[in-house]
Amino acid sequence: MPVIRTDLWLADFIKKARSYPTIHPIMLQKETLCGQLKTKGKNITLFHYQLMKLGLFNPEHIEAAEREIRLLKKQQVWERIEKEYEYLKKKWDGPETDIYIFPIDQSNRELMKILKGKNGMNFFDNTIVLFVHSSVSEKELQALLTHEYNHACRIQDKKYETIPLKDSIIMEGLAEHAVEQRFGKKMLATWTSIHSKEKAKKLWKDILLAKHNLQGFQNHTIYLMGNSKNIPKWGGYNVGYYIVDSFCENQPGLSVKQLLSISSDDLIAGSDFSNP
Amino acid sequence: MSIYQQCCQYQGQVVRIWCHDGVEHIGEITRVDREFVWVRPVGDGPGGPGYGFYGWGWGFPLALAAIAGLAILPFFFW
Repeated sequence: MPVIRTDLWLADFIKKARSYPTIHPIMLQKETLCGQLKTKGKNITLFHYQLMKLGLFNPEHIEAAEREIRLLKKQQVWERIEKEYEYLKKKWDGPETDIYIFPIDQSNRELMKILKGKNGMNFFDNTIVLFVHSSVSEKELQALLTHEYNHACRIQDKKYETIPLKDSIIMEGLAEHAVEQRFGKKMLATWTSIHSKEKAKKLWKDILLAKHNLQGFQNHTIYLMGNSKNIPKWGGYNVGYYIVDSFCENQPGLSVKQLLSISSDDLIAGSDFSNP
Repeated sequence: MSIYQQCCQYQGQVVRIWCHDGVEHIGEITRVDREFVWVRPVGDGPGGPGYGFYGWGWGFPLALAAIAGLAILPFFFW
């Protein structure tokens, strides 16, 4: 079963949080949501930390968490994601993955307003984690998994330690292009249009091009997410979208599956970013 | 000196912490209270490609009672 029944883990968390009020809820959250991953060789402290940074719900707000979990179960989110995964896996001939679903941190403005109550991430071991709010629509949920599963397909033969920056940038464009193909521009992530194409071209020419072979995903964060100095917010994400978008305009008619097999170098060469 | 006192002394610095269960952590101490020390891992970053949000946070909490010892790592510069 690709979609792990984290709803059972969440129910266990609520039960223990109510039964053991003297134990800090963050420790209970770690044990109930991540404890079972010990058997998969994961460092559960670091995994829990990653989840918190990605927008895992605040365990100290028990009532709100319980309400959200109940709503997500009522909406059959786990079943819907399973169905969507099977559809995408067949369509793209993609890998088997494990998918973990968690309630999102409702108090985080960026997550709720700008990213519309959803977030996700791929680890390089065929693991996807999704964070959702009960207000997320059916299409938004499908768009989120479309984005994340597209990453899973693209990073199959890549390693965290050696992946070059150009691959990290391009895969964001591929993922959102997949969303656009299925659902149209309305479902695109905010960061696809946060900067103009001209600004994206300037960022590519002035900074990213010189670093495009920089290896190691841990080194890519500031280029993708931006910094407070010379790289605008979501700069690399935005550039990735424009590169793939312009490639598809220049070479129309390619399916998402076909695009997934084209190298980053070829996608850049066929885009409007080839001669900066 | 107690673990709590050491954590307070090393707040803001990068340390190696080893726990009673044999697990070691390396990171910056960002916060200390009577129950927990909060450790932000060195070279922290997302574990892979995602949808666009990645907070920076305080780090992860370690129960003081779980800590066997800690030592400062003097060669980390920010």
